[in-house]
Amino acid sequence: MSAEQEQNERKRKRAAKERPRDHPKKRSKVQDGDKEVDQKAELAVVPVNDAVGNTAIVPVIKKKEKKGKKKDKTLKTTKIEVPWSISEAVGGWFLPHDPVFSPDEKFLILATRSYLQIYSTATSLLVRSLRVIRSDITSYALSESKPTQIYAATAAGLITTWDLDTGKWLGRWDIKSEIRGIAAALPAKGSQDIIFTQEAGGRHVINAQTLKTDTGASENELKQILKTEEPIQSFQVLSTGAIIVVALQNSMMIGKALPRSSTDLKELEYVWRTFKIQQDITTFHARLETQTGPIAIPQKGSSGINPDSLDLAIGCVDGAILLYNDILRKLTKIERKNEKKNEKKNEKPENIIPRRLHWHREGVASLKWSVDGNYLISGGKETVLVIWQLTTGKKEHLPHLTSEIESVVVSPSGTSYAVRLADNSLIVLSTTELKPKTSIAGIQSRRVLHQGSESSQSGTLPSVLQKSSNPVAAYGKVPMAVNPLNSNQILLPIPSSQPRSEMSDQRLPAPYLQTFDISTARHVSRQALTRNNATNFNLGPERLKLREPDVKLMQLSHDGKWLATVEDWAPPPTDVEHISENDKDAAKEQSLRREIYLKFWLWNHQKGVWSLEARINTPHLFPDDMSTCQVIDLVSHPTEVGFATIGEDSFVRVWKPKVRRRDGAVVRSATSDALYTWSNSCSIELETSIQPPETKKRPLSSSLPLAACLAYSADGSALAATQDWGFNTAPGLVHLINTKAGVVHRSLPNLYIQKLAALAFVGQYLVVVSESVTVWNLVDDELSYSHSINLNQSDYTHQNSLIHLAVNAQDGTFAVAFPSLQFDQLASKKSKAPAPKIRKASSTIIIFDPSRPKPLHSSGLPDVVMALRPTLNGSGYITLDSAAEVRIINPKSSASIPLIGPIAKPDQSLATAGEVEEEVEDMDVDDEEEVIVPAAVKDSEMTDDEIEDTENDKPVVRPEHLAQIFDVGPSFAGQSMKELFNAVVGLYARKPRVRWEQEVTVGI
Amino acid sequence: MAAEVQPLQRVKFPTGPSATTPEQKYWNSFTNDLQLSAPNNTAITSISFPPPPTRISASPPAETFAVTSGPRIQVFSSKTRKLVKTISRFSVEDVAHSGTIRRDGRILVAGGETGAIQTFDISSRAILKTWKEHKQPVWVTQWHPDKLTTLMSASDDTTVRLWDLPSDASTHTFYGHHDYVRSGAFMPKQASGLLVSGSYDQTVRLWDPRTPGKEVMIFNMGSMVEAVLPMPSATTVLAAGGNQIAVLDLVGARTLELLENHQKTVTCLALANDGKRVLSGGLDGHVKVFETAAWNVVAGFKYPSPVLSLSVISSGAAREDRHLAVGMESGLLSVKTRLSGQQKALAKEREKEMAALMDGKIDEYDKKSLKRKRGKGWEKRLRGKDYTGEGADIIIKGNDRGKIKNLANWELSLRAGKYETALDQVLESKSPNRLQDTTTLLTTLRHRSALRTALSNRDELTLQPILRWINTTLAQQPRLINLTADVILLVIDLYADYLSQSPETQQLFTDLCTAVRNGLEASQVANRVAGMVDMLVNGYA
Repeated sequence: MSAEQEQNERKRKRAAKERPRDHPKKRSKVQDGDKEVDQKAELAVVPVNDAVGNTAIVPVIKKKEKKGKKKDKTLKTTKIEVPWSISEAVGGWFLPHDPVFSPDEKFLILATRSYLQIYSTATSLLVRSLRVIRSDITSYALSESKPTQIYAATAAGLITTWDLDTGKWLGRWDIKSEIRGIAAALPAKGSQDIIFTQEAGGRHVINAQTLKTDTGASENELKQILKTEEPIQSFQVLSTGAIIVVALQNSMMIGKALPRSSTDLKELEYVWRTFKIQQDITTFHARLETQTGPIAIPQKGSSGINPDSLDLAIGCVDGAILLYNDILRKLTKIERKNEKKNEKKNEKPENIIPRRLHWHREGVASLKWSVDGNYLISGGKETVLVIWQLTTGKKEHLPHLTSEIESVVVSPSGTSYAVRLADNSLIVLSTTELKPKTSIAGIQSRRVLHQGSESSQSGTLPSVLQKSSNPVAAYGKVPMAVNPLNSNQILLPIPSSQPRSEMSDQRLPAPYLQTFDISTARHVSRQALTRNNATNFNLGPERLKLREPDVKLMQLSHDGKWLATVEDWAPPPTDVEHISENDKDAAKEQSLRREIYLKFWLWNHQKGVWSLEARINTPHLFPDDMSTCQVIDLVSHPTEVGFATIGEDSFVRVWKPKVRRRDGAVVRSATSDALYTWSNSCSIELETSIQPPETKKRPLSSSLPLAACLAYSADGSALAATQDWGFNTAPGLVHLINTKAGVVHRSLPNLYIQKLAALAFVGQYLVVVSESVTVWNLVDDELSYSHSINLNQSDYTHQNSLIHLAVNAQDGTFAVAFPSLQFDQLASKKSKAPAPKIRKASSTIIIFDPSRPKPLHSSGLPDVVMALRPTLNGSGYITLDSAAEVRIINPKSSASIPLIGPIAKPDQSLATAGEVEEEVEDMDVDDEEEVIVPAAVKDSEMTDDEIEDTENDKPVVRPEHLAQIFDVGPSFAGQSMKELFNAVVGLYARKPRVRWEQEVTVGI
Repeated sequence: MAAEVQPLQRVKFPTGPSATTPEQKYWNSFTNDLQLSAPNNTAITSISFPPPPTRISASPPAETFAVTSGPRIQVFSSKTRKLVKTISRFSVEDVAHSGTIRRDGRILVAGGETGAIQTFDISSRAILKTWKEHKQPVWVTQWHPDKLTTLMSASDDTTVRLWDLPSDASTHTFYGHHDYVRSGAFMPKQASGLLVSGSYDQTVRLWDPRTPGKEVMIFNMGSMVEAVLPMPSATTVLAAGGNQIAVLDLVGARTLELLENHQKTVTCLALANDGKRVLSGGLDGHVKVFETAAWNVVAGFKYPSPVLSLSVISSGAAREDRHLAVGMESGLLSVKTRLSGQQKALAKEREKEMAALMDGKIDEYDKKSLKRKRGKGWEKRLRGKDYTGEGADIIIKGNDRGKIKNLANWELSLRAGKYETALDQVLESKSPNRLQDTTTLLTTLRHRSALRTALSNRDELTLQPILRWINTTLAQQPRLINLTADVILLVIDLYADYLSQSPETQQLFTDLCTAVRNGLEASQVANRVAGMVDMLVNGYA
């Protein structure tokens, strides 16, 4: 039996299997009216009640009644209950999907979990974002029939389509199975897209279907075209659906459509040819070479309709690239030979010898043919973009990109490459100069993927990282800061890259600083805070990945000019193996070689970067053996420049800047700014470890505090410090330090029992978060109230380190965020198992007023909060979660940070989206001119509402006026630039005539 | 985008108390001490040089300075330090005081022991004018900084007078002091001719010609005022009395600072560095340099005999400090000169040339210097420049990210991942930064987990440089002990078995043992001392 027959046979069998299952042939379209309801429902999907249900909030009120009543009364008069709201998510990671260029290359389509984001390639700005409901996007594709139409598929099986240009929602279909990939093709004769979907679940199939919008919804057809045993990695549809290339784990399948008479989908049949490859496939790209000039068609009928050759490039897990030229013809040739020889000497398709290009030392993450087929562009973990010239075998490198390459896309015209990197960013390079034209970056903070929540697309590579024993470590706090100079900006220490292939529960070191604008959802800047491997070989001699120092703590000074960071690096355990005899020794030797730096950075206005002013090596050290010890907490002085640290050595150190002087004269930099040195202005020794009364033999490490916290009071006059050893004889001792004198002024005992999480001052109250939230009134010196938090934690996870506390000084509230993690029960049953796996994680945030035991607000978030900060203008909080999404929680009445979002208005054509800005600029210029001419005063002819707004004596131009000028039609049909300009100037420069004349006469 | 490759950040050693500050380095660069003895060893009472012209249009600055000692005034060129003129037309018993050259360098004025004030034409040495109004010795004569014909004098007859060159009598006389006036000066930036004078009546007085008869301000000092110096800002005046120098604020009419750095009487004050530094000389033979922001001493000199006069002579368009001239009681004049960078290079070249000439290697020297002019590797650079290629072909262009500049050998090896070679190269190198380079490399190797790789697979010959480095570092650089210890532990771990196979290596290991033992003893002693000091400190508290 020939291969073809075999395939047909297999197909028949498969079809027979399919039949009894009564697959829904026609899929109904979801009603249009559902849309809004669904979106509301989406917000509610957040497991609010679930999370709160886990945590019992039990108010424990210990208050003297008189005082309590008084306070309640006063508060009731001043504070009105306002509902709080959670904003839409900002940021998030881009999907591991090739970015899609719009056909005119003016726009680039990327997707996050729940949004399709359309960016302008000219300005790198987000132009439009389209929300998908109910589930996460898995794949998206542009329509072939209508180039402005896009399809997006979700894991829940919904396919949604929009018009890109207007952002209009066109339709939605429910396929009722998990979609992994989607592609659209326009058949040669038809006018309707055929949508190919790769579906997962219990089976691995590729389906073809037509999805009709309006009236023809009932005529939707479905045809299964492939079903495999192995999971399908990815597939590519070529030549209007005539050829489909599918990658399995280590074999390729090429399907070729049989000629059909009508556009009826039922007639769509493919002949599948399979061949195996030695290694695992990580990526592939196929290209159809349309042959020009006279072609000798070898055999009629057998070679099919098109004489084009299919070139296939396959990237392997060992870094080799295999090139198969005209693979389809070669496969058919072998088939035909086998047919003729009648199975005597079976030639296998594996005998086709591909051309082999091997430069990558690890798996090829992505590769693409150039448009003309002469070049191959590939990228991988080496952070090098490689361009292979196939005729000569030469290659060009673009080395030292910021991070690993995850996907490469060649634009339709071939003039640019879009390169998506593993640090959640994307650059578009021009092909000629390899200079970046567009650069798009999302929030690059550490994110955590749950096992199985996201399947790897390009195949997993063997990971060199060891699994950590603590699954919670990855959720560790991110020391986010809000920039006081621009309260829309947040600063985050970020890992250099987070490749999907290496996602583990390890805490990646964060050597870089990212500045991100929440309001516009734009990346502002990125800079290195520690040494890093951006331009170095990032593997050690033992092929182990080198770890960079990790910025563990970060604080901004109150004026936003200074940044303090604490970074930590220790050699890997393998480096100290030769010294140590056992594990304990190794840990000690490792900590002896630990490098901890406290760095102070000054904001440089000219360059727009943080410049390092001072570095303090080992800010804290053990006095007995002079070895480095870790800094546990870092806080910034609220009213002056200065920071305080607490370390494992039970010392609180206060750091202050000094103007650097030499011989009495101020030392200045080249730009004649004074230079500063930082020094320890005072250090306060707290109590050291008090051994527990029952002298059990404890390991060495337990003489170090498990947790320690610092907090400044609002005026900076007091510094609260506390340490938790886990076995204190005097538990919950909080010291109040007089910062002027540098001595412990007072110590409050029993504020908590153990498992300290956070400490803060809220006005006159001291808030301690441990197993409970305790609010202590310092003026009355009594307990205000206390709530307990129940975390469903197991023994080996220290979830208390994941509890966040933030104080908003503006409205005197504080917020507590804590995770609720659900562990895999299977793993925890085994006593030997190193760590339980986290199945599901979410978190709860509760906002309190320190004077009232009842929480102001409580809500759940779908991911684990990794940073919680107050907004600096107005009341509210900013959260950053494990999906790298930022949310703002604030009372509904106050808008602290306006979320501007995409620049295109709904229903506005994308082509005109950029012009909005130009108009704004025009207005700005006119405003400036306004200042120069004598001030215009109210005109008697002005309408009432105009007078209302004329506060600063400038003429009020309402949007309607501008619209009259600009919205006359499409831009090409409108007036000339000059006319437009005159019209706008006329609008802005109109003067109340009477007053103007008066001014003139006075002047004379 | 593609990140640029930066050279490796060098390890910075902690800065200890610096032995020489840049300021000291600057003042130490006044070398080429020219020592001239005055005839008859008469004390040198005054050194002065014409102030720089205030306007650009004024005549070029006079590059001369005047030294007064005994009955004569010597005029030196500040370019060549050579004696240009000697003016000695004073009567036999007369002693000249304060010879001062006018701004344009043409006229010199001097007071004398007899009370006469004389002006001389410098080029002809002719006496232009003689005023004999003062009844007592005149110790101070000064030209007005702007006006060419105005000058002042102060005398032991307790008066301060203003003169106009053409007129025969003084234009103003200021009475007020009731003891010798031994110091005085015009205030800068004052067109009216505001004067300051210091007297043995322990006061500093400020005089204004517009309010005749009475001083405008008095500062009472604790001791007799030997020198006054107005600062260029014209709001501060320095006055030296006894071993103190007072910083007087004219705006607030108060004493800002009292500097007590000299052991004996301060006799002279001078400005330097365009008014940013003040030098003081005293009878203790010390010259001290003060900075003017917080009045700290930043440098100092010691002279063999009491200093009576001093001046920092600036020259050139930029008015850089050129000479430090100090006159002493013993009649010795010391002129120290600082060369500018260009001059220094020239002087060095000249010295080399002379040395080559003396050794008879002048030919070789010439050849070398000629070659240097053309530059190194010029042939290589030109080679192939005219090649335009053979026909059209698609050429994948090379990387245009440019070469990584100024990387040392070992850095290149490190970049290429050749850790052993890098270590060999850095240990071999003879650069002055060898210690820093080695430390940097070893720290980097530690950061990249490559220390073991770099140290392993060595034979007898290649191991020895490492052992030698360990031995010297252990003895000389105790602050690198952590790094050295790591290297030692690795070396012992790797090569302990091969210890006895080579006598040289064995010797090095023995040395290492001794070095460790010595270090141990030293640290024990240090610990003991620390304990003692702790006890003392605690006892004191």
